[in-house]
Amino acid sequence: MNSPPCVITAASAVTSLGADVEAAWSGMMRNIRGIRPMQRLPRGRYRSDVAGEIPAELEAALEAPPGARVRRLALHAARQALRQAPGSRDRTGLVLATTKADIDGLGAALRGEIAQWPAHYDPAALAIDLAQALGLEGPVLAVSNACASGLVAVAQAARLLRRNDAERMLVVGVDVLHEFVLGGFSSLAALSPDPCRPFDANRTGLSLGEGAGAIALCREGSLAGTGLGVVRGWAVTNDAHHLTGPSPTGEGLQRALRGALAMAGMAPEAIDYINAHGTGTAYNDAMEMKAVAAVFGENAPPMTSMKGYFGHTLGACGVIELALCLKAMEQRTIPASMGLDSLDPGSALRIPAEHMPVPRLDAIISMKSGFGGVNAAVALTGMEAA
Amino acid sequence: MSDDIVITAWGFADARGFCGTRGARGVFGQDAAQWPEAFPEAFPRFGRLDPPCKLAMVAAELLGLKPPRDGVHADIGVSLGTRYGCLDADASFFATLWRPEGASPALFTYTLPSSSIAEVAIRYKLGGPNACFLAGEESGLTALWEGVRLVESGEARACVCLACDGVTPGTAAKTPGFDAPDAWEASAFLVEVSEYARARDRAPLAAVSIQCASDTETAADGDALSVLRACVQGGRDAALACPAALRRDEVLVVTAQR
Repeated sequence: MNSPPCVITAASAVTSLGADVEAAWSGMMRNIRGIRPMQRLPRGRYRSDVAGEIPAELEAALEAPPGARVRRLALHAARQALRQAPGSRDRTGLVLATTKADIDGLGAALRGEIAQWPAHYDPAALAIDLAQALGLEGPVLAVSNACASGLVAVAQAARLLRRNDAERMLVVGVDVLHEFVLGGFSSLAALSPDPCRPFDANRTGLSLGEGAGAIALCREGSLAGTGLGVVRGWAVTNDAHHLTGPSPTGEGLQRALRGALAMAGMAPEAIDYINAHGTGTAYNDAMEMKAVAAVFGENAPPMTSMKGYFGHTLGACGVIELALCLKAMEQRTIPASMGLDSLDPGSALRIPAEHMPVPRLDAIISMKSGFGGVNAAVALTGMEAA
Repeated sequence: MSDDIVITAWGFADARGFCGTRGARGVFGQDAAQWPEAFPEAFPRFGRLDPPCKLAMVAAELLGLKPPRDGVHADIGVSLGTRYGCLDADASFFATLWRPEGASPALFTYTLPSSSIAEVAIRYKLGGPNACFLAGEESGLTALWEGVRLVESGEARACVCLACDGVTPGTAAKTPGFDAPDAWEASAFLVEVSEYARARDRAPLAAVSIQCASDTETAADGDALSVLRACVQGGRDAALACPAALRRDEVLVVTAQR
């Protein structure tokens, strides 16, 4: 099925590399790792002492009032995006993507440190609060689909625009680091003791991160001002295979990739760059390499992971990385897969370990997968291709 | 009529028991040991599920779906609505976080609100689009609404629309400010394109369509999913108001098949 394209009019991201897309991109281009020894969270307790933590000085400068960290990060990213994006707020809606929302608050409540219900633990309440703080009067939804939440939210926002439920949609993805997720991934032996190395033959697991991203979308016909890119297609699928492990064949992700391309009306060879999920775990990366090889064949475009720069930001990663894909498009540079030293021998794909300036970077597909077997893919192009 | 969207099956489970299209009825309270009564064949995995997944699985089982011989049902999606998500698993996992032997990986795997989607998808091999919506009291209605929209748009040919919340009394008691003692039920509706249902010998119980509110005269009162259940069970018509979060002057019109 085809769907009218949506124009991305603004994009923002706050990560361990900095308070905006420019800072993150600049750090990436200088091969800076935002995965460092943890300062706020305890070391020596879990399988890893490194993570993509938001530095204290950056956190202090966020454009958001004191309160729950998850709210502060989300509000900071959302405000940045709305400043860039023209459009009236009364017909602007919001879709929030998160896996754990204010898990800090729930922990405090269960420990008896606070006596009231931790309101922002509920993603719906957080979404409504954000919309009110931003003065948005359109539809407000919260989605939570594991690590694919961000791209699922982009798909949901595009659906709302397709239905004319709003003139403009703001998609916000956010998750914060907490011992809850550190302890959880540690218990699954999924954390890498060292900064993660997606697609490397010697990869040892993922590095966690935290952050928020926001993108503003509007229907192609209602664009007022300049667009950054166009969402042309999306698909969400389920492996129906295992609660935590991906399908070993990558069949579910293949269907997501093919579905997004079909909706976009694009052939696989039209894609210039694949933004992988690339967590650095043995199973995820192997599954992605199989799926991409099956869909794109021998001439697959370059594929990289961004997780090596700022870690796996869980429900936020789809939005943050989409924002950085737009920057890559603008700069016509494919960012290196940070941490890649020797490519997994099972792969014949092009996964650059160095930044790769290219003459054309007009079409990107971003893919994310998560617990529960969910896969999501979004196909986007530059404005010239519109 | 080939593009009509219909409801062909439903299932419901709460602390009193469960019932649905397949006519199963049981009494289980919150004693998980009795719940497999809902399943016609052995389902050992059931005992390992967390409370919301168990509830969702019982409700979904009553839809009568069968996994395909090979592969997955790529055209059947799952739309889940939950108000409290994985609160129970979160609270249980927190309790293990700092224990000397380390946190529980078995509990951690259920600390996502979307876990019920995964369990239902795995059992019935549902490979289509899926989304987990959290929308307060209207989470279930939102999941139904978006499930109908998903089928209407052609992204899926059928969708299991699930509403599920399962918070145990222990978790409720230790979570400050938690005030929903009845957060223990699941509803499931199978929404599909009529042609797709016909090809699979599933008879429609009701037709559903989303319409402008001014074009309809009926408005539903009370809990939307209860009203819907009564419609498909009792053969009466209704109209469910759009979830407030979507801010649309629309209704979901339910026309029972008589």
